[in-house]
Amino acid sequence: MLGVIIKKEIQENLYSYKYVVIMLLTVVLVFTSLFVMYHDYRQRVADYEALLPDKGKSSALLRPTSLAIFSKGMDEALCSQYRIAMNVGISAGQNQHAFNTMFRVFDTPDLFYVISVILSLCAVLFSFNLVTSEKEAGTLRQTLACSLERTRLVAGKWIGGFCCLALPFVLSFLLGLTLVSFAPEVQISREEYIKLALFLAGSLLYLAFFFSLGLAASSAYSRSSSALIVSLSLWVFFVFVLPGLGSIAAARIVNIPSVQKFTVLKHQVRMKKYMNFYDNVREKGSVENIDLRQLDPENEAVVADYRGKLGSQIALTRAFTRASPASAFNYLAADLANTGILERLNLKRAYLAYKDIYLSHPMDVTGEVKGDYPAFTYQRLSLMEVLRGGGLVNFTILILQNVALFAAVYVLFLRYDVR
Amino acid sequence: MWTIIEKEFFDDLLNQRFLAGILVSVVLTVGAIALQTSEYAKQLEEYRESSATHENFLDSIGPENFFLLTPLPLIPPEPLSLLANGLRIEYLSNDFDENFLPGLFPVMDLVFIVSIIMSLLALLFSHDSICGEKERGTLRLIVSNSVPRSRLILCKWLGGTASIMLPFLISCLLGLIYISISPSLQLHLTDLAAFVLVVIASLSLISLFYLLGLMVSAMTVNSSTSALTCIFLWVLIVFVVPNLGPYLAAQVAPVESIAMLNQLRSQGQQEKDRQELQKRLDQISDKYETEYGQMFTEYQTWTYEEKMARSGMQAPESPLRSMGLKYRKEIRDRRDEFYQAQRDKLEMLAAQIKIESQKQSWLARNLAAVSPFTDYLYLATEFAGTGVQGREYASRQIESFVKVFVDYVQTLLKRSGLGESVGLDQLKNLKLDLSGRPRFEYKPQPLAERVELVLPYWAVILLFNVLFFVGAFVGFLRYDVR
Repeated sequence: MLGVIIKKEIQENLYSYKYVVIMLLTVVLVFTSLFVMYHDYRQRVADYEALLPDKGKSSALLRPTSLAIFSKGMDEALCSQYRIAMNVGISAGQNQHAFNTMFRVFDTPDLFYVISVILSLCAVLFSFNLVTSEKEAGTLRQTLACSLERTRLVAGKWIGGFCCLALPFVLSFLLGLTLVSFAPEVQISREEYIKLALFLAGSLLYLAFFFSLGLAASSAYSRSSSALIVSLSLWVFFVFVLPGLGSIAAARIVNIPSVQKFTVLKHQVRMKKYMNFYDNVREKGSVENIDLRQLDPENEAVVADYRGKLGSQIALTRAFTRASPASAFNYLAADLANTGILERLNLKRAYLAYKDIYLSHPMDVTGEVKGDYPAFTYQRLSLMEVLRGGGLVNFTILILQNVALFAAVYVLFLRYDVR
Repeated sequence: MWTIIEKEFFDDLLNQRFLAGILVSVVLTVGAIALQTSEYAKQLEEYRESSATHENFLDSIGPENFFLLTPLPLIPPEPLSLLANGLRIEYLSNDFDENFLPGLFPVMDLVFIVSIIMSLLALLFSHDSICGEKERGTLRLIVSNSVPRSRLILCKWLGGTASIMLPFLISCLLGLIYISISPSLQLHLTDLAAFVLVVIASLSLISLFYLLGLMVSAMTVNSSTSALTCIFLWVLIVFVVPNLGPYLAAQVAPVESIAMLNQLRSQGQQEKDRQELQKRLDQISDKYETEYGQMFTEYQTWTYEEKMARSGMQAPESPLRSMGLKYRKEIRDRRDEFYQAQRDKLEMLAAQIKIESQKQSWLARNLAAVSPFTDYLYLATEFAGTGVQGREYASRQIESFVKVFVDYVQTLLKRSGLGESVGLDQLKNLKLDLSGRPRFEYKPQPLAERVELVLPYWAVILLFNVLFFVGAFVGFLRYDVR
């Protein structure tokens, strides 16, 4: 019987206008995003290769990851060239996007964005009238009059409907991945393929949540128009409002200085160090034999305090915002693609630790380290490190959110008045 | 005509779903304004504190350390950033310690409420304006009363948008009242005018989406098809077209000189440059060794202090002194020449990058402006002073101030009888009076200028309004009401 219901749902959906629109949107957007992000990746790889002579030195220079084609996250910032500069601490290089502020006005149209905003909306639109349209057409009471269990019916609707939604997405993703992996600049290792498989699994969990959301609204109201408004309101709440409120709450609890204030404080630290330095120069009459490390502002209390508070705010923000599946999926996707917060914090930690080693070597009068010194090397986080660092937690949250919402759908449908 | 407008107006207002939607948007609008007002108050306090700290610190450094004075112009938060956060100053930094969190989450400001929530609401309440009435059977009854279709469609638009705009205006008014009683925020006349302009721009966007829904409704037979089509178009306008703009522009007009600039600044290149400079300096040393022989070889073995004592300005007149002065001048000149050539190369590249990035930015801006959502974003953020042009205006002020400051220090040095660069031995007893140093005062871009900059984008929104109205009009004229 379940199989019959599933088959019926699939057939009904396949011939609907709704399915055609959503399928076209899915296919067009998936391919467009992969196309655009592949070209962006190619440009960034070309910029990286222009800086390759700096590999094996003290600067941090990461090759853009191929997974950024799917979820760009903070890969732009991760691949900036970071250098140890005596008077400013650590400086960041400039990339293509730094010169065009329009990139900061809009979101990145990568596959993650397409899934998290657009396909989630499509999932809601797919399911908001699965129950109400049958009630309005009068077929629901006829179906249930045939002593069909409500559990089976709602399960059949869910499975049939979700299969129709997921199929074009999965096929487009796999085809897009195949095309991208044949591109010359793209290097995807075996572990990265596993990460992409998990990314796909996470995407399906995320879409399943919103599919269940639409079905819950449909099981709570008798009219499709009411179900539509409620579904869309909840979509806006989970995708935009809840993550925004979570980040605001975290920022209120852990107060960190603004960029301007931190710049002023760091500036004072630098100027005080310069004053001491020039006092020494005046005394000795030359810069020879003066340790230029005294100019390094990095280890001052104000910098350490800021970094500590920023770390706390990041941790709190992640904890609060995970209540929204959009944020849980955001963290999962970006971390799996090695372009998320986890990677950024890891790189920062690694480069700060390297800086101490680098500066322990003797320097010449211009502040350059003399002789041989170890080069900075960095490996992006492995799959196990990503899962241990929060990936597994995000997966679990998505699964639990799905289970809770499906339970709500079940209860609502059991109580639904089919007359 | 008024009867129909009244009917449309009250039909919506007395509809439970509509009331629920409007209540939520009113609460969100007032809540967003309240939240952003408190955020603005915090930013303003931090700005004042940072400015005072910085000035006090510069005063405390004293006249002996004048050469350490570096201008650090700070920009105060814009009062209307509580309506449109736009480009926050945090977003403009590219620092190792950048706080990237604000960029990860959507900002709950008025622009967000209008562009996401109010636009969706407008679509949801207009998508079944024609086809819904047809399904209920009331459309043919109205049309059979010899009401001209043109009048009917006009009244539907007027009545429907009025029913959405009125609560929105009420929530903006409540927000304005909240702002005016807030102690930390004082809106001047220009700010009030900008506030009104943002609200008018918001109304034009709401009307646009209402007309879009009306047009689709007049071209479809059933409301579910109409709803899906409306949302599909909404997704394209709000999420797809704007976000593709910058990336397409980057493909068509890449800033290729950045790679060359990064290469020039790279460690590898710097090492090569240092080696090249050293080679040239070594050539000078070889020349002097050939010319002066033992005297020069011995000279090279002395410490800096010995060199100053035996061949500096205070040493007795001798071939050694003239050799030392000549040698040091030639080294200095060759070094200055070399670094000047480097600077010229960098300046040329920077100018090239500026041209290329301006071209790319222009293209990105206008590709994204195909979407009326983007046009509204430009309008709201430029009126609020937080848009791309507003930030560029602020950057130009900062650049001018830095030049003025550097000129001030140079003038002081010249008055003290010194050249452009001060040697270490001159530093010891130098004191300058810096109480008259220039202080940065940020002046926001005049409102008239801001309006002039964004008028074309407003014209696009109005054009879309007209297009959608014409579409709805034509669609309804041909509509089968049976």
